[in-house]
Amino acid sequence: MDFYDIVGSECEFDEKFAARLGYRQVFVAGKDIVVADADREGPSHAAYIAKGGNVSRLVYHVKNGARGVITEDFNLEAKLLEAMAACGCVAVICTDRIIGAAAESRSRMLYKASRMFSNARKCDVNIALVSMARSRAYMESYMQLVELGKLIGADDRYARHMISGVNGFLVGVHD
Amino acid sequence: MIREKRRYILIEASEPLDMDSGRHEFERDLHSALMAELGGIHYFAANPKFVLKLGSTAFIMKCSLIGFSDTVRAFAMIRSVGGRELGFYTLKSSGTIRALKASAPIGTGSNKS
Repeated sequence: MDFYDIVGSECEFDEKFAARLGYRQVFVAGKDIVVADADREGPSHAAYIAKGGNVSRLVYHVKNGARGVITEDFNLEAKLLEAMAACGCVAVICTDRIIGAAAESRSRMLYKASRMFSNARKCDVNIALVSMARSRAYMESYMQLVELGKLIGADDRYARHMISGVNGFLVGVHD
Repeated sequence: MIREKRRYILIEASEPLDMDSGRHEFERDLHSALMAELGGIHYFAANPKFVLKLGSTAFIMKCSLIGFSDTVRAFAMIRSVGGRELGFYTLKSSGTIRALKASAPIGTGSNKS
């Protein structure tokens, strides 16, 4: 099973380091896949992930070809979930927002991520678990991502599926 | 006597570790950080121990098998040790130290006798 990750555009790393962390490839947001601000930007022609907090704007993006959705505070509303299930859009969980949160708000973020996970699973929406690391220090090895996936409610098999599916669901380089 | 089942974890730090001047100091700070992430009860169950330093950034920890998942998660959550910003990557895990030494990152000096 090959594992993939997506990191932020400012994150600097080399391929050897990515291989040491257990990934076949680490994609860079903005370079390998576009992450569009759903509240300000329109749909993109290339493969892209819509990111934002406005539900109606996110639904518009989902219906216009967004491959994945990153919501603010891991909040997936029913209307958005319905659209995502109908269009085969992927719910993207970024661990950077959990890890990067201060200690007191981290447990809250974990709770929200686990709610997002269970809601998406109930509606048969695929989920991708990525680090979206802001810097090299915030990157995680595949083993750490698997354990974080298990922490938010996935079993071992699905946790691995959420990480290995990043390429197939979102980027589609190694098809 | 029943032997406790243990798991060895190969860990790499995001920055070189300055352990030569005070390895025990680093270990104490690392255990404090682990304790903060795991909490007293889980720390007791995981029983993490510093085993071996491999070069400037990598080292091996051991923990109990039942506390393995918690230990890996804790290393994912740690952002600083002893007031210094550090990230940790758990590269591999094994039931024996020998297997981990063989797969230690290049430049750690683990292959030197």
